[in-house]
Amino acid sequence: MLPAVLTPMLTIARYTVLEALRNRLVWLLLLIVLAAVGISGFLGAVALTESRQVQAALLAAGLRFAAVFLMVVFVVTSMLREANDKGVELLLALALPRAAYLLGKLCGFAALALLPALLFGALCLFFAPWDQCLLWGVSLVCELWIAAAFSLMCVLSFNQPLPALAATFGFYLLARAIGSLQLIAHGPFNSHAASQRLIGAALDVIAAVLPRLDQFTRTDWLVYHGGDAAALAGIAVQTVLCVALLTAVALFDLYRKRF
Amino acid sequence: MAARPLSSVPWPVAAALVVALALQLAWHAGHGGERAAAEPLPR
Repeated sequence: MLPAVLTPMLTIARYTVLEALRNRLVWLLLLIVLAAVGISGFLGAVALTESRQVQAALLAAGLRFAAVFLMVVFVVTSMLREANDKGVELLLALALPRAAYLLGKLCGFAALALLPALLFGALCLFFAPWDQCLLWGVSLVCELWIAAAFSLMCVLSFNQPLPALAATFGFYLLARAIGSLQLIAHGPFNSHAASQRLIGAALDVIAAVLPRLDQFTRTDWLVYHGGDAAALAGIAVQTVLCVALLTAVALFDLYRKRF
Repeated sequence: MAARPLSSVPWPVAAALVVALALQLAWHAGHGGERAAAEPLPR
């Protein structure tokens, strides 16, 4: 039973990776590396002190956002192209469960996420020790998996590029900022008015289902070398939980969808 | 276009959704307060 589902899943994953490579993703990644090195080098030279740290911080922040942006845009455009070409209908007409299709796509995107993480993580070796670069790279893979799972869920639900991209970047921004928002909401400088308590409670509810992306792929690991295995363990658990939840929601939606 | 009925969702998918949500909430309940206590804002 399992190989009967695994074989089509792996085939779908393989063709997803192949599609990305034929879309010249590697060239785009190399272009991003060149641009990021150039811009961070320029700004590092302009900095009055700690120019190397400034360069590392700017490079890491730029590469992180570029990787997430590329991943999300690729997931959305690839899924929509397949839907518009009626490829989804063709695949679902075959004798394979809908779960095999979705999990196959997700495996393909997950494999694809290794490419920017490896490339960008290797680039960070110029600025930080190898263990911090490894931690940063593994964390970037986890972040990309979450972004890919969320954008896959959105594109299956919305079927339109603009709402899917807007929702995904909204989610990403919120997940990056939710820790700060919670600290502000529960800070000592707030009044204890009912409206403040309500806002704090609403933020707590939202935070309960969001991954803490502010703890992922931290630039200070590369600058101050403070990353450790405990941080990685927390990130791994959050990734597993979040990807499982997003995949389950996407599967639920896909099974209810009428083509 | 109307969605297919809820019964079209296989039970393992529905069970996975409930379990994943429960685990997410449990993990957050275990770690959310810990972080807030570890990093208080300066007075």
